[in-house]
Amino acid sequence: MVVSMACVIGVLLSMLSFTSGMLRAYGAGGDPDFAVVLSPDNGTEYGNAIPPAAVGTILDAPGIAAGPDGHPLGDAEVLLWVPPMPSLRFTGSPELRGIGAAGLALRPNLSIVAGRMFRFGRQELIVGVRAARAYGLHIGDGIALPGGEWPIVGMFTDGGSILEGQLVGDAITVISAGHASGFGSVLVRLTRPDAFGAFSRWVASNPALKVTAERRAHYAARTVNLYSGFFTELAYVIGAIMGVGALFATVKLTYAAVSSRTHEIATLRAIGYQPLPMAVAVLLEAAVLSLVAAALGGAAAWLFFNGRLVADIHSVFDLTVSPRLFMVGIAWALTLAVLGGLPPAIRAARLSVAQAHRAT
Amino acid sequence: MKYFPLIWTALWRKPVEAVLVWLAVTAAFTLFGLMAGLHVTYDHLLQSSRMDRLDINARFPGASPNGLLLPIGLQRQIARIEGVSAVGSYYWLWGYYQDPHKRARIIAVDRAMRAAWSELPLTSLQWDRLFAAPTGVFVSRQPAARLGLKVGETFPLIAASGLRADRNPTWEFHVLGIVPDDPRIGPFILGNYAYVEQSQPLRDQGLVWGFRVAVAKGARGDEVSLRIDRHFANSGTPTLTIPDRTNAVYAINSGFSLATKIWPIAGAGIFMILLLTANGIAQSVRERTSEFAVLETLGYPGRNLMALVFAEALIPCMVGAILGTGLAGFLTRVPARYLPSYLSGIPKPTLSPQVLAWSIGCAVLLAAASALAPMLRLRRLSVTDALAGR
Repeated sequence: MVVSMACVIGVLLSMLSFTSGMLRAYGAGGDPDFAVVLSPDNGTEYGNAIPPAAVGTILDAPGIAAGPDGHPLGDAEVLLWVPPMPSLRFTGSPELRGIGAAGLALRPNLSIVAGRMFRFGRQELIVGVRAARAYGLHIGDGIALPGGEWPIVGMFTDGGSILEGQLVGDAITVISAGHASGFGSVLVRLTRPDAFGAFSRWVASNPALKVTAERRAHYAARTVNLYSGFFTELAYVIGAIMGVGALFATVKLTYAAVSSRTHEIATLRAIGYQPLPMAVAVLLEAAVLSLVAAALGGAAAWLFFNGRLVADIHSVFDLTVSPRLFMVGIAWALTLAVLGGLPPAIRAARLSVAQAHRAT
Repeated sequence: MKYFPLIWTALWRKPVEAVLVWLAVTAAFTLFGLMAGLHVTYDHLLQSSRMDRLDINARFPGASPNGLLLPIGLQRQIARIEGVSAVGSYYWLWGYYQDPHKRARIIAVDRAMRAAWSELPLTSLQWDRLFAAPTGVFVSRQPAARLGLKVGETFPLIAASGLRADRNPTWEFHVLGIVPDDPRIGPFILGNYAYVEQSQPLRDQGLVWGFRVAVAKGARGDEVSLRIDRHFANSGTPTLTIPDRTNAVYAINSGFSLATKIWPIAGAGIFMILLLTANGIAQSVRERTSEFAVLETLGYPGRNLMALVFAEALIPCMVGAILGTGLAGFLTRVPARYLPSYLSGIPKPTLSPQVLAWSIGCAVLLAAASALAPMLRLRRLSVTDALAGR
């Protein structure tokens, strides 16, 4: 029974680790101070819909925090795909994010671990450690982009965020090299989380701008949902079917346990224990075993899948079997235990003493 | 068959537990059937995807002033490349119909697409009608049902506002016909590129999303792809050409794909009940040792007793496998609106006779694995010990 429940929970948690890892990398539920300004036609950071002239207007909006030099903490950025390159581990193409100088101030966790930072105005790139692992990139490799090969001059980490799966360069250089018409998004830091309302209204109702604002945490959650929604649903459907099987297995095995201990239960009843404690004892036993199963299944999922690098179409991140996921596993296990243990518990309670003695 | 009453009583010794085991086995085989069906579907998709159809797009979308679009002038050059038998251009138009949530995409094609994309389920007459009516579209069954379109109706598509020269966001189309779905192509709405181009402002004309190439007989799709890309490598519009089959293989196996998880999940389900059935059989044999001893005393050969145990393990597994596969088949027929929203996007598992054969084979293996230990124990059964109750 422990093993069958552990199987269900192991499979469920392994599949849910995909969504969990993506959520963690995108920083969903992260800093409420950050907001992104996007084009309403697009709704994503891709594209070139925000013209450079509009960026100044956006940075004049109320609610944006000011940096140490007095300039507003906002950064115009662009996100694009790089053409596929041969790679040892994964096929596919990494993404390139162009940021401005303010972008570095907005990302305090970004630190160079090898090589050096790219210089603004030059056609240079730095690569995140995850992208380097996934696509086999090293310092000195050239990425084929307009203007020729842009060399990778450094490697960086950013606290495990999705940026580690991307290449980073200077936004203005990227846009001008590609003859693009504008930026894809503007990232701003607000003075306080509740300054978002005023900021968003100002930006949306400004006749010179055609943009919308969204909290970055919300945008991250929406993006993750878009990319991983089906996988989560699939995980639950498969978990449900396996769970039904585990449920019947639990009922069967608990019945077997009760019937093999009929003598014991009869003796306890003869001594004077009431039926209800008998039933509760059976349920408790099932619950404890299910917790062991949850621990086993969770440990197996963690052992095999936690920290595994995944390169999905848009994102490179590590699978995460998070504490929240363990809670989900425990909840499932306990539900199975209670539902599965109930019929045998009722039977144990209704066992008449004489009947039980006769049976043995 | 004289053994049948023995097997029957053995199965129904503890009826409640027998039914529960059988239900658990059915659930595990439902999962197995769904996973095996998915495998068969992916296999069919790969087998039927073609190496002699190529898709050409812009190689460096970030680098070109046209972004993801290619100039239509490339078509003539591509047609002259060795190995190309036909090349057609296509333009995608996204928008919505009536309600912003009813999104639609029109694939506007030119006349040459008739030869290049010949596997589309349109008859020759339908192609003629499509090119005769600039605003005509042919809709495949799935989007027609989703959008509620009928033959002869006007189909105004509301797209982004800057696309038309007259700045009108609405594009008028007319539904000429509804064509069957083809799972290899997916849902589509086919329109006329000529109409799209005429309605665009002058500076946007002559740009398409991509080309489709039909490779000539005897030529290899991958070689022709490389040839096309090499031709345009040093031009202002480098291309990326990918055969359909390569695209399909990549799509199925990339990232955290479902296709690679199929057998581990099915295996986990079977493993889960393996222990259940093994436990059940072992316990049942243990409790009936004296019965088996009596049978052996009466003269039944040891081999027959082992076969009895195997049959006792096999019957619930077999019945569970058949019922589970049937239930999986039933689940795949559930209409899409009862499914959670994202799941309708994954391919439907095909419950073919091959899947049933796999399930039955798996059931036999399961029974053999569960009954192995008890069978071996029976072989070493000492009749005197068993009868004495030791």
